[in-house]
Amino acid sequence: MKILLVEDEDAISEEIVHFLTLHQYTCQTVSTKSAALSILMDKCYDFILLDLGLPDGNGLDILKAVKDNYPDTMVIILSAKGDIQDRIDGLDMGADDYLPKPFSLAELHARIQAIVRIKFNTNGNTMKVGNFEINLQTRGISCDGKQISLYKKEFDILSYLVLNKNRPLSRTQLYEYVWGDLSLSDGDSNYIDVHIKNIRKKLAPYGNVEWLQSVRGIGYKVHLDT
Amino acid sequence: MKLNQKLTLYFALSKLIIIALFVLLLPTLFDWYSVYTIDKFLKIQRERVFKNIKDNGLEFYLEGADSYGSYTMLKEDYISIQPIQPDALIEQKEIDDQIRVIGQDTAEYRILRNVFTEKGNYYLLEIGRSQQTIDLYSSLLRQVGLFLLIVLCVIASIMDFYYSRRLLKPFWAIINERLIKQRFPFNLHFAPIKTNTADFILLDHALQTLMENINKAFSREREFTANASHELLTPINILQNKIENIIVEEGLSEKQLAKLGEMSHTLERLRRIVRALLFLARIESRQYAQKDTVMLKELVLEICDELRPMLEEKDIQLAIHMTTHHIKNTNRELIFHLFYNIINNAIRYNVVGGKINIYDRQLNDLYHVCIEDTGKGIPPEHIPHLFSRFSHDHGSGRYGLGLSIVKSIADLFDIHIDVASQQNKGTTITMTFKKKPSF
Repeated sequence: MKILLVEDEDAISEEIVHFLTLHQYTCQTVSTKSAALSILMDKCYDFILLDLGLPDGNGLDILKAVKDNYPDTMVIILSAKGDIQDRIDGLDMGADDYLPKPFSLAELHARIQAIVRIKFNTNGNTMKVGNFEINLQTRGISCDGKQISLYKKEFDILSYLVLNKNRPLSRTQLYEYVWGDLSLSDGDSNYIDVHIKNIRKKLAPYGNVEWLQSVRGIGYKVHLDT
Repeated sequence: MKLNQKLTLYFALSKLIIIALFVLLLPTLFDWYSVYTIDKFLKIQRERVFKNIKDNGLEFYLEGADSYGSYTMLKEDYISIQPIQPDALIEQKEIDDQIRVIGQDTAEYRILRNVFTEKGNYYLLEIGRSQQTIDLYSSLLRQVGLFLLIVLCVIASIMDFYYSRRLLKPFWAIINERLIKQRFPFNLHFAPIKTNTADFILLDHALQTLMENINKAFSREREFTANASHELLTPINILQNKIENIIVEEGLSEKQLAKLGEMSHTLERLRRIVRALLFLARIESRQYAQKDTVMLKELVLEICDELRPMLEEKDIQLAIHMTTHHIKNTNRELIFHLFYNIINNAIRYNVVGGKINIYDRQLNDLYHVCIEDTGKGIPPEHIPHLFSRFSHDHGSGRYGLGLSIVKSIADLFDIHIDVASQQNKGTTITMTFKKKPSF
């Protein structure tokens, strides 16, 4: 999948590109509005990650050009301008998602995956982990055809870990993923521990759950041999 | 009291005072005036008598007799001429009131007396008018005067009332359009209020300028918030992404991994503080729309559902007794945050096997929601500082910014939060939904 990253902060672009390349995406970066508009004249991308505060103008202009010329291109706005109106404007103009800075790369990955899932309506989008099968579309987890019932937030945590397999995620990262904008309560890490404990308890009767690991000093990860 | 009522009251009172003053002064005034006119009339009569005497001689009246007397049919007026001793009337007033017997009737008269000489003889001329006639005349005047005054006062009051209404109409339009109907942030697309009163034009203009300035200051603050957040959050973003990328690199020792974890943890704390401050700024600059209608019972049930694992973990018994009360013109996200924080704290600071009671009630026309827990309670000396920013429980950072966000949301929606706590027994948080002031 081809991604165009429009971001004026080089240090951020560098990390995003490193991360996305690791996840088998083809990535190109531009740092100004004019460069973005000119590259969009002759190239087509599946995905655009768009920073709004560019040195030579507002990123929303790029969004408009993209939506006019390539309506199928998916756009995620990355912005540190926390203004609510900004977010509403962006989504109104056709952006598929809005990710406020600072965001974690794991979250970016999850959002890209979610949009792709909605866009192509891939029903067979199941992920295998151990003996378990997770279907992100139906939000179900099963083992040998037997459905296991999880609370909504438990499923969110588990799918986020599986989506970012082999990557340790901190409790805060997990908490922010499941709570989004409301995740301001300080030091609620215990919440995640309780959920992980319950997930293990619910899955254990069906099979081995050793792949759901605690990482000392950081948090949790799903360890899968690739 | 409203200006309109005050003015109407003043108009009515001022007219009443004028009427009362008039009624009080009326008898004296009219008595004096009627006496004055009668005296004048008597003097005119005297002139006519003297003119007749001068033209035709005294015999015109006496016709050979010693004296002359004549009166009208109802004895309202009389005239008499009689001879008199020259010194009989010295030191008597020219006109005064005396009793006379005319025909067979005794009556009080106002009498003008004049002594004159004719061919060496002294004569006394008396012209009188009955007091009864004078009183009649005076009371008639009095009645007509009072009637006229009342009619005039009523007309004046009606005119005052309608003119003042007309005059103040632009003023009320200013109050209504500029102060009551406007809510922050102000809508500045309005036409000036139509009026030719200079003061109102000035007032309207001043209010408009004021609102423009407030809007400008507001958007400046908003811009600052956006810029500051950009400036602060971008470097945090860079560091965080760098750590995320390093953490999955091969060949890291467990010690290095733990160090990276600590760094990430510190960074997350920093980020949380910045985000919380921005969130506070956003609430306080009223960037959240207030258009939702929320049924609190549903909201509380949803929150408790989300927190069920935590409740089960601590084996806490939860009881919810709530009515289907709806809160209008609010923001669901913020109200959710408010209740989530308070209920979460009720779980967090509860004891294992404790209880949480959530109920609402309507008291004195106000809606209350109470959240009762059986936790360890809050020391009384900490309660006043519970909602202030960066207050610390002896440096442990326990309260942090969470509760000051709660307070900001509560202030935005006019919710009063009351904290009652007994140590080792529990805390009760009571939220009172105050009514928005309305005209």
